[in-house]
Amino acid sequence: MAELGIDRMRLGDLVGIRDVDHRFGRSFRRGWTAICLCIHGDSVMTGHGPGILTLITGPADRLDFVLDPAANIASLLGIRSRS
Amino acid sequence: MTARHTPAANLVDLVAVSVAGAIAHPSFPGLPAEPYRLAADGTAFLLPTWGGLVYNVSVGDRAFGWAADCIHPGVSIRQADDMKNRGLLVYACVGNRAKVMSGQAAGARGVVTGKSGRFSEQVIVHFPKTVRTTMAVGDQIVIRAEGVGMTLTAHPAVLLKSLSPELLAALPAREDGERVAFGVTARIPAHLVGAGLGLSSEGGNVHLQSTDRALLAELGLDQLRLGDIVALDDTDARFNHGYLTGARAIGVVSSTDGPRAGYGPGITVIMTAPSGELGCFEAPAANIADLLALET
Repeated sequence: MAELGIDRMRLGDLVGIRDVDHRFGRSFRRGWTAICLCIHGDSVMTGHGPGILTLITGPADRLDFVLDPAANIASLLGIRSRS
Repeated sequence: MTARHTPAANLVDLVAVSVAGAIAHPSFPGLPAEPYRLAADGTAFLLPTWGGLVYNVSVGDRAFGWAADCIHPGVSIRQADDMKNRGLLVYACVGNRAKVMSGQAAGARGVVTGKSGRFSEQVIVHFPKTVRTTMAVGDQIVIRAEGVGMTLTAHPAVLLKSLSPELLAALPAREDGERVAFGVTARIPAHLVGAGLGLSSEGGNVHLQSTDRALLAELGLDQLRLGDIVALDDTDARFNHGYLTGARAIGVVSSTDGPRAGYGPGITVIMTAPSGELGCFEAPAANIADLLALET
């Protein structure tokens, strides 16, 4: 997690996942993309890290994402200012 | 460093307990009214699924290509009461001996070959095909459950799960100092480990993902057979299933592929270690149909 920087994820962050198809259930599939929302915190249980809610999914030649550290719904939806 | 070597275990300390279940009837939820399920591409399908008495699919057969959704080979049993069923699921170990106690097949002997996952929660038992023709849903089957509590004397970091002494003795194994390795037919990368992640590693299995068929073919995973011993790389199954760099789990392919996203062949984990203590090596013949000499 630390190597990937995922341990700095915040509640409300938008996160992109490559090579997954989330249309009908979720599974690994090359050439597909999902854009998701971090909705709950980490857990000590194996396999239960932060909860990620799928918002958009599609083929990678039609759907992509760019890194933007400010992409968090707290500010995007005016819930609170970034601290 | 021979292929038939068996690592020392606390066999004299193990307790053998009787657990039992009845042959389960296949079921579909009553609501919504349609029995259809959705495949990973969104198409609706209706196929035989887990549970029941399956006449023509057995351990040793192919895991892919059946017109089925995660079918269990042979006979699936469960207890009607959820707590008792949990006891059955936790105690039963792959390789344990089973015996039919009621019906026309009373006295016939079988072998536990796997467990199913959450929402199905059944123990899968092999019986010869000729015996299956005399069995019926509801027949009582007892299992001599032995294996919970088993540890490898020289390898305390390796946790054994759902593994019977009989199967441990039959697995191809190599020991080299503190490291122990077992023979597997295939290695599955962590990104192809699917449904079952985050859930119990004691009474439930974890599935290979099979949506990316081209990738499975590239890795040779589309050739898996029911009963194959396989390794799950970077997967920690000590307490629930999850990703952990350097961890490994080894399991038995216990149910067939299915069309749903995340639900390829089901794998019953038999051992795991968190940081390199558990190795594996290529053993194309490592299938429990042969290792346990299952009668067809």
